[in-house]
Amino acid sequence: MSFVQEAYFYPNTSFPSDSLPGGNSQRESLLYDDSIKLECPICNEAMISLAQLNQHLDDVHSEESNAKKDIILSWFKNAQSTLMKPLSKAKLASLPNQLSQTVTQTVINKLSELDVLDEGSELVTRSHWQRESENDQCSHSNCGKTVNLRNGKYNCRNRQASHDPVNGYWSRVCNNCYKSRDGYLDDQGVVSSRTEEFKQNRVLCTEKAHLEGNRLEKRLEKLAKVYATKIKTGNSAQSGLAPPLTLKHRRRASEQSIVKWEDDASVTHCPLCNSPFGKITNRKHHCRLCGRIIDEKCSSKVSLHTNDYTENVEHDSVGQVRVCKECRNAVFRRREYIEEVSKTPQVVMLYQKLTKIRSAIDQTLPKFQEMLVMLKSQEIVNQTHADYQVAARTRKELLEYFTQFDAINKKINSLATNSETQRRLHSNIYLAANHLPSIKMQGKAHPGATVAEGRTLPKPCEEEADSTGDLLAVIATRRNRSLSVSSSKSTRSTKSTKGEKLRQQLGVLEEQEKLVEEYISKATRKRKIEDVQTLKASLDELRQEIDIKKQQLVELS
Amino acid sequence: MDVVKAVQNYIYKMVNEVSGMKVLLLDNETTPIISNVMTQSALLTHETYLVDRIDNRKRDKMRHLRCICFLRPTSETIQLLVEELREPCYGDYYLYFSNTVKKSQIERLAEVDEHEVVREVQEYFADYCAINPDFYSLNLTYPQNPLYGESPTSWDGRTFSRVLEGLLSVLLSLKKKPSIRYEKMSVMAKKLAQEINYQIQQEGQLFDFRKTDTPPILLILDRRNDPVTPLLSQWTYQAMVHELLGIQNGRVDLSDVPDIRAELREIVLSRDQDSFYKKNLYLNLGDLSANIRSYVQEYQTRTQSNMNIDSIADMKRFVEEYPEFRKLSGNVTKHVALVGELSRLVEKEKLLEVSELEQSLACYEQQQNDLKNLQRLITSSHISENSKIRLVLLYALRYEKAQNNATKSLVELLHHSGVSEQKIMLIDSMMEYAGADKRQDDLFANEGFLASAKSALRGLRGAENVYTMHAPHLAQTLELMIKGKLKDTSYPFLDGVTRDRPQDIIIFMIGGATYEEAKYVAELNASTPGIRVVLGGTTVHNSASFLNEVQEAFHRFSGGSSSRPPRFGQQSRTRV
Repeated sequence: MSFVQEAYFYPNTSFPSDSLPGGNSQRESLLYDDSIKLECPICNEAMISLAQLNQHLDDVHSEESNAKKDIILSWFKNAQSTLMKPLSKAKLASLPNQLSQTVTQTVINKLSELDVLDEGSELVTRSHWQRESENDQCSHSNCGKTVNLRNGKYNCRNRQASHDPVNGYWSRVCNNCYKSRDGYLDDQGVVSSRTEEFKQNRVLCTEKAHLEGNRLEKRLEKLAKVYATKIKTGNSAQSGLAPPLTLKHRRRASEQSIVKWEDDASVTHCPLCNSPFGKITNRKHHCRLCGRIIDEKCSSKVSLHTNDYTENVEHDSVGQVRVCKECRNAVFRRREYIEEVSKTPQVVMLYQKLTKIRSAIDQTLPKFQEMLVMLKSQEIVNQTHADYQVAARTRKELLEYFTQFDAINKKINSLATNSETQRRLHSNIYLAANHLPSIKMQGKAHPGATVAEGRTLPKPCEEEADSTGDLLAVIATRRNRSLSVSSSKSTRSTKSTKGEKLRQQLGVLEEQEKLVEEYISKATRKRKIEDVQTLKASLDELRQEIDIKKQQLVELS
Repeated sequence: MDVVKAVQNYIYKMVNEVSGMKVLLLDNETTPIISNVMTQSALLTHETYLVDRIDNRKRDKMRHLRCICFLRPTSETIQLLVEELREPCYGDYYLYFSNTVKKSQIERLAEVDEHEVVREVQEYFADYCAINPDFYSLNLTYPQNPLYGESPTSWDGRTFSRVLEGLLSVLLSLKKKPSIRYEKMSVMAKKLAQEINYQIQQEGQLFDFRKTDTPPILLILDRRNDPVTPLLSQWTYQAMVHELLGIQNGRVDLSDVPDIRAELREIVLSRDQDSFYKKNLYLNLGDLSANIRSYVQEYQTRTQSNMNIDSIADMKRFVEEYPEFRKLSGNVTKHVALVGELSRLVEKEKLLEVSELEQSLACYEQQQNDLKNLQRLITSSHISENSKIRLVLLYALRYEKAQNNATKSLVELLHHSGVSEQKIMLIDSMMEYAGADKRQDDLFANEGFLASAKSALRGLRGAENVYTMHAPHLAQTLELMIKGKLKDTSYPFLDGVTRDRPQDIIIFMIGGATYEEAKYVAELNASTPGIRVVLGGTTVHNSASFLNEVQEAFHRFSGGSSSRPPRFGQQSRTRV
């Protein structure tokens, strides 16, 4: 497995960009250029050929230390291989056994004074390289192999350069640097927002609709006024001689003054549902808002109110008029929709409470855990110690939150619903809420946290209590809860509240006793004999516990 | 380059965008996209309490809920959405489309949103099913989405645009603007490559990514070039389950299994939720059986330790471990049932024997020997018809150009042993679909002298496992590509040529990929750091669905009789 990769890198140094050779993204040409420009790795003297360099090294630098010689030798080999291979293969040659074991080293060497050119670029220097020694090891965390010339030894070039795919050079880097290139591990896909475009379009469209709606609303108000005044005159007229028929006629005249009615003769089919009109069967009606002729099916009567439409009380109505489906929608749909949205059903309120408590728990719980750790580390057992009391208070607070959380959650689950979907919603909220804290609790095996665990962990099991196979678990958890509560409480509670707490525990235990009895009867009905046995055993234990508690209470009082 | 994470991130982004009680509204195409990478409980933890389909017209009005719509912008879905917005069931709407929405569609939606309930309109490009982190599928199967149009080398119009959109969304979700290479012999691959390229140019803004060292490669292949891989029996877990039972969007239908328990009728195989599955996905049946044995043992010891609850401490431990224990017990039952059924089918259909010959046919040039075995198996009454057909197909494909090709006599033998006429017709269809003239590479390495010598040598060496000798043709193609040696002449670049060794490769297989190839890609990714490969295809084939597709398509073109060709054995399970 190879821990070496190649990527474009560009030095971080302050070299002006115009000093870059042209066509710098062409790796081959660069390699070629560099390998021709031979320089001595130690004194940077330019050389014409490898032979000359070899001679030069022997002559000038022969007194160098052994270690340095090693470096030179290995560099020499590198350079040689670069030159000897055809260009296209140069890169492959530098990765001798790609699929077997090539290794890299990345540690910086502060001692090295060498400033030798990288085979890939003039600008990524070797000054930061780890000094080579006889027994170098791969510094990749998972590898640690000894590196030598046979399995290939590389230095990561990334220390002084940053990734630059545009102007960079191919450089050898270690796996970690390869992976930490910007965007390499990006798992966030492209997102494109069309919201603005949509809203612009919507403004154009809804404006028209709103105008139309407003216009119809105005008409409706006028109609209401007409009806309101007419009824008064009608009342007074009724005491006189005017027949109701004339009232209808007069109303019709004023109705028609608000909107012009369509001519009866011009229409043979309902414009909305396209069914033909008849003299008796499918009679023509006029919509009082748009004046069109429609049939019975496509129209409905709406009540008129003189005051604002906010009040929806029937007796406020001053009369009813027929309007077509379309007008009705235009006027009322929006209003009804807003009304409905503004109504908050019970589940929403409960859910808001639930979220609030949850965030409170989320805040308090880590604090409490910290305190416990602190208490334990300092071995504070004195109950009067200030820190201890704070912790006790926090614990009480937490317990309270848990009880509330539990209660609200149960309430949500038991909310009365009239539809399957609502029931599903409630039970899903319940399920998710049960799931949440239990996830958070897991992995906290601290003894002090047992109280919390006892309260939250069993919930998912209660869920499934119906399948009798789980009964055992339920019993065990319930037992565990009460026991852990009792054990931790008896050690921690102060004497003054002891009696009260005992009574509470007793209540819990008795409640459980009832539950277990229920389970037993259920199990016997289903003829699950083993279950019954285990259940009975736990029932006995519960009763014992209850007796003990009762005794303690008596003793206390 | 992790398609599962890419899709998951999109979904998390959607459900995290708004707080409060939410309902998630899906359509028939986005449902599998989500169900492949998400579980109900994961959604629940993000306050998404209801999931519903937009084509369900009987939804209750719940105006106190916020609605997250994740939809594919097809005309049908837009129509449904228009109706929904006219009479909104929920309070606020956040619209997420799995692909580019047309301008006219935006206008249409804006027009009906009189209540101004829409808060967001976004395009999240999760328009494909992510199966493994490096394996995706577009789930396009016959007959809903026929691949071929007028001729066996042309696209069906609707399928083509779906493929185009799907593939673009893969690129966008992975943020890749690729150089495109395609298989030269394949007209369909070329057309797709050109269209993808055109679309990338058109959508310049979307594809404006950070420059990479070397451009990622999109390699478009055609199933035709390797008809052998989907014909072979599979022995690694995921591939085997798909071959024998069929995996549909992460679900396996076990209802046909004799004496199956009710809760195991349909099981879910999810890498995320099921660590056992994740660990053993690519193991062969032998290793798998060993692992499942130890898994069961682990379960037994846990059960035993749970049996003796004597003290409060025991109880506490039990309670703490209980949820995990339950999960474990469910999982153990599931995998035991699954592996049990696999073994039963292997035994029943004598698949070990069949597979040995299959592998020999696929890998080695041993005509006389294989022919003898083949004749023996065809006359055997224990071997299923489908296996016989597959074996003859393999023989016919390999020895198509051989001098002493005995396909004809084998066909007669098939007739003789009572294999149905229509299934036998498949042999002609297959040769027409993927005969030597239709393939571009020397698949069996028996065409040139040097190649056949090499292949003979390989045969001499022998392999450690006779059932898993075959390596998909894709392996060879990828190996060459990673070395930078894949020939331009047979896999040309659409424009521009780069000699750089690629770092990221996205493969798309027209005509469907297989789990065997997916396994190869996963192993390649694990063993070569620095190279990332993602494989995908129009669908995920097993032998049955592959033969169906070939049969149905080529039956049509050969102007065959009006009667519909038969469906293949387990294919009834491979419904969409």
